[in-house]
Amino acid sequence: MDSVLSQSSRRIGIIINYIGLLLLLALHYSGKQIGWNHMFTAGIAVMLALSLITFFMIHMKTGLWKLVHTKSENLDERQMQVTREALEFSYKVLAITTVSIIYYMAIFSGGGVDMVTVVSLLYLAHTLPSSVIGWKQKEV
Amino acid sequence: MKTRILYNRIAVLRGERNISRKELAEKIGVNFQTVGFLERGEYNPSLDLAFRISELFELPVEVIFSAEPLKPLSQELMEYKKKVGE
Repeated sequence: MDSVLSQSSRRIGIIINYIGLLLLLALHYSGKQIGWNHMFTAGIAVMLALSLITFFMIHMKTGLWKLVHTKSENLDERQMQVTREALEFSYKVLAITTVSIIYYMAIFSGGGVDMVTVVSLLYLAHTLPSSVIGWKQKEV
Repeated sequence: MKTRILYNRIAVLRGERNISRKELAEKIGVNFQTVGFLERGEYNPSLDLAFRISELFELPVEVIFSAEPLKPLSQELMEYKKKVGE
């Protein structure tokens, strides 16, 4: 049985999830530039745990992940409409984000794309549609 | 294009016939949460779904759905009786 979270709880979870991811990336790149120490490692571990916990609470337990990753024939017309709108919005955000990162990397980092960035973009691609639904819908 | 709100009598009809949201959802082939969205006017059904609902309740589509706020069925019936009586 999928758990029912209120819209405000879902929104808070989504914010924490992406802030956790952003801080994780910030710590990773700061560690790379300044030099690794225990503070960075501990910080990354905390942010990773925070992101994972909120991911399971927001995307898995509510059934949002299943909603956006299932075949359209298993959805009714409202669910299809909601999913389609979320995917449309996510595509725009992801396209802008990916292109911006690629251009930034090409200009300032000599063209190399970090593996952590690739994984983060993959995570964003998979979670953004369900985050949009979780954010916008009163009931999921 | 911004869609307008469609009013409906699904909740009243479902209550009259003592059908749960889950039962209605199964009969019309949607998720049970979609029934809640329909009843609250938060989702406008497709023509196909509107016809499935009207077939289930054995009522014309225009009795169940309207672009204008719906009056209670009893009030509409009284008004109709008056009209016919005239």
